[in-house]
Amino acid sequence: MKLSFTVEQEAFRAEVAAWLDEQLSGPFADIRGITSQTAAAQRRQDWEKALGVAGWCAIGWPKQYGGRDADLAQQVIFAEEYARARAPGRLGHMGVELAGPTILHFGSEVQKERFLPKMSAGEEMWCQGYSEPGAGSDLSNVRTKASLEDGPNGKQWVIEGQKTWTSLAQFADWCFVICRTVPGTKGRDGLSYLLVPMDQSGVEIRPIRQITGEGDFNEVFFNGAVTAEENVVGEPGKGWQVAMGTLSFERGVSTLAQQMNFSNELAAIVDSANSNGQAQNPMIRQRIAKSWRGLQTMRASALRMLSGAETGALTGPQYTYKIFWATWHRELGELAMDVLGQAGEVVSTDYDLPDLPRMFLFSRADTIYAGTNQIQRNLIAERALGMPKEPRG
Amino acid sequence: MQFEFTEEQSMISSMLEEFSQTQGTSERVRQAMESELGYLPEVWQSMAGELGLCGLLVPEDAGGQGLTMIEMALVFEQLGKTLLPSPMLATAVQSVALLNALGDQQTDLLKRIARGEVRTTVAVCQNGRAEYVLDVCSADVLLLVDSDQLFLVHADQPGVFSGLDITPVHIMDQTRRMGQVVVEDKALISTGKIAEGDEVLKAVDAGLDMARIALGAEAVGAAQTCLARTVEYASERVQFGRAIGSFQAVKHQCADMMVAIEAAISAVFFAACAVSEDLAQSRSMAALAKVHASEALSFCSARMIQLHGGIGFTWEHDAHLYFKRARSTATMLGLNFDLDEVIAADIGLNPMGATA
Repeated sequence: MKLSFTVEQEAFRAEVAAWLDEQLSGPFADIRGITSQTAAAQRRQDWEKALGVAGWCAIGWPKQYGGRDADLAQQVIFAEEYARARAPGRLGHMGVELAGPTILHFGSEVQKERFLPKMSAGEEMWCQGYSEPGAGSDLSNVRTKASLEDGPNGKQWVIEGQKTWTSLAQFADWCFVICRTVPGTKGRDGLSYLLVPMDQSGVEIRPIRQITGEGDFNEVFFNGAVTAEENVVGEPGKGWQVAMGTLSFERGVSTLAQQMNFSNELAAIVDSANSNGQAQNPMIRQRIAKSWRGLQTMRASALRMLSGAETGALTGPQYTYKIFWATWHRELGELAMDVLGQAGEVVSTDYDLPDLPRMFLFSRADTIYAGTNQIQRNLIAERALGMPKEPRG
Repeated sequence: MQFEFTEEQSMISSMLEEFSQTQGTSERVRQAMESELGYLPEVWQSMAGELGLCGLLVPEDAGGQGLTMIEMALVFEQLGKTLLPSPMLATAVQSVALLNALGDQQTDLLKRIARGEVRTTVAVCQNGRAEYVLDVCSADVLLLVDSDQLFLVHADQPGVFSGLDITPVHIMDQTRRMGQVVVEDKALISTGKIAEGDEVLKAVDAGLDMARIALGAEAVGAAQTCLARTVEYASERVQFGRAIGSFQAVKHQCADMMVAIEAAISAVFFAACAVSEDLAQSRSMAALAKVHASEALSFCSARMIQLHGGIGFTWEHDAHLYFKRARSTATMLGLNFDLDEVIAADIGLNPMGATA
């Protein structure tokens, strides 16, 4: 057990930091520090391509698909430097972190050749078609359905239904969709994992205005949308396992980049407290110290989680990480507002929010998406602790 | 960067687990806590003698094993699981870390500690008095700090020192022993002066940092037992025709306990790495390990009582032992609130009293 990095790893860190700083002081200076998911989308798409050209888009992937075969320590370093450089939020993250690893793990050779190089080149953006109006926490209750029919170029899947809370759908070229392909089934049986192109007449996207006033999420309607027969990952009807595999990739190295963003937010809170005098308030000092403790702990938990990721069975930190960071971050938002006082509530006439107040509002989503705190507690109690199961209807 | 235990570390952990589970049955822990000494001499003999635990942090050239705080934390995690009482924390962690920080000048004493021959503790005095000194009533050697001077005081017999008045202080947590130290003859004590100045203050801090991490590790172990016993009980206890552990009102509380424990494990071993590698902010890391783990144990032991219902409130059930251990952990080696101020001052907040 060791925290320090080797000389070679520190050299890699310097290389990453130098490249990021050069780009973000030069051609991409205009998007440095953007934390909003939706702002400057076109420029952030250009940024994805620049990352791709330089080979920084998906460094943990095999070289043959555009990665660098980077080991865990290198991925940790890249994630940390990315956030430290205040590089913009990744428009490509649904592809690089969720769709890509899923295809690498469950996909056919043809699918790997078709999809992975485009993702690692930053050329194709992705979104996730999981939740539906009637399938939130109870995800296996999806009602979107697809059937295999004859099309102009052979067999194709025809999709009918609605997805919701689909982040970044308005910028996506592809969506991975869980839908029912075996008529008459329910629950986890009979689902398939389809890869569906977004640019077609059968797909309609409506943004959902959220608590911050912005529209990160969308409703996505599939009205006779189509995709080729071969665009199913894993066996048709066995999509649930693939869908769960994707969720497990959410516990990846990107959590470290997220933590560096949290660290930037905490530093901004400390600055505010120093300048507006709240640093003299013992209650605030206590809460800031507690927040720092949580942040350090989270980093250690992430390293434990990632170090154990190769061994298969889920470990303690893998079960508990999501609820811990989500709850921590929500409290950070409350702390930020308490430090800022009334000044933190001031908005512009078009409701454009400064970073910390936006974070305060956005963090209410943290304990809901990717498994609510209540669902997380069920998983921890029933799977990790082996407690008796809740009766299901 | 590598955050997994080595094979050797895992071996130490499983060896201690077996020892702690065998020696630390509820019956034996109660026997120890009701005794005057506060621990079972034969248990201490095994720990200090056969297992050589007192030499873990002692450098190899002083007859120790030269291991790090990571191995020591693994030991304390297992000892904490059963609350097995012993003078380990004062002797093998706080005293050894303090002496190590002084360089090689106290090699003879370190050798004796490593061989398990002496029990030592640290008393930091203010105006000639120190309150709540851990295990002083059974100590053979006292490291007495007064302002920036360090004195070595040898006992005439365990817990009895010429020139000092030692009074046992009985605390709510009966698995720990504490005492008050009053300097009565300063001139006599002064003959044992071994160091003074900044190096003493630094050495005291080094001893405190290591001891805070060990205390955190011990709390993490204790919290794991609280959770395991509560899960076991909730899975067996039937009300309304169902095991109570099937109700979300109960199982979610157990889940929250696990979340707190996993975070505390991370905090403790992160801090253990940080002090072993002498990284920046390791003082704050040690404080964080203690506070986080202490809070986790307070939380888990309180939930343990609540979820056991009436039986959890009895003297017969062990829940109160863990609940009381949580209390002494929260106040020892720095109040949790005060340690948060150590952190606050280290992370960029202006000092108290500064103007914006």
